[in-house]
Amino acid sequence: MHSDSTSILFVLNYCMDPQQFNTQILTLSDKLFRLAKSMLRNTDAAQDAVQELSMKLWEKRNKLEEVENVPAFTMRSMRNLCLDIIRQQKDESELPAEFENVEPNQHQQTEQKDIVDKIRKMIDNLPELQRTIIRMRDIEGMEIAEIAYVTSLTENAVSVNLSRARQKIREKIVSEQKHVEETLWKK
Amino acid sequence: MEKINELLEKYFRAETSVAEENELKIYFSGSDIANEHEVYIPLFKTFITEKHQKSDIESLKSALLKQQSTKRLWIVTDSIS
Repeated sequence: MHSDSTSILFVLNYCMDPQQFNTQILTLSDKLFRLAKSMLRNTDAAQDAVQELSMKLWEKRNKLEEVENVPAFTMRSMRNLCLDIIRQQKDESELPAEFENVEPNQHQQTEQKDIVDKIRKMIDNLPELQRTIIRMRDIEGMEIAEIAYVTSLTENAVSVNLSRARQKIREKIVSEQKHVEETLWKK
Repeated sequence: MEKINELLEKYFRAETSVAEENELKIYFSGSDIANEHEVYIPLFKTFITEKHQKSDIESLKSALLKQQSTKRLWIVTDSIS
């Protein structure tokens, strides 16, 4: 009995403390959720993915202790998990993207909010890699090196994709503006 | 205003640093914005509002606690048997 109780203590001491683990994961969960939501384009699927990842990481928590940059490693794992989910969806029938179905109820919204919604839609319509990169940079404020690690790309490739994404959004904003001015002119 | 123009051009070429991008975010969330820049206000505003999207922390927390409590029970029953 004595040896049993020491072996319990031994096991528990060598596992990462659940509280410590949970604090780490919960601090990152909003960022993980936003990444998953941007990739999967669906709130519930994103929430499920964050939960699935957290549980997988808990199973492998001993490995996590060897990781140098836990936030970057966790983001990278989140992206890889989402890529797997997207691949599975393509094999079966594709899940409808939530964003495509959401129609803004114009009457209740101010003009400013309409434009913000439009820009969000522009970002959501970018190819997955550009969408993920522009969000990690412009919303999360991550360094290029960190984004390169998360996406397994070179820093140069990240910058190229980032600039393409920003240029596309710029073109759309400018042409949208022209369109607004033209319709005002006609009135 | 010259400086903002320069920063914007650098921004669209993806050559700005995080610090320079923060400068742009601060400029575009202020009230003293040049007419020529107004078209970009919603873009930077979107970046700020998007960061407010939160995950459901409570359900994540309870899922983790549930998983962790069953695992610990396992260790104990393992050593008893």
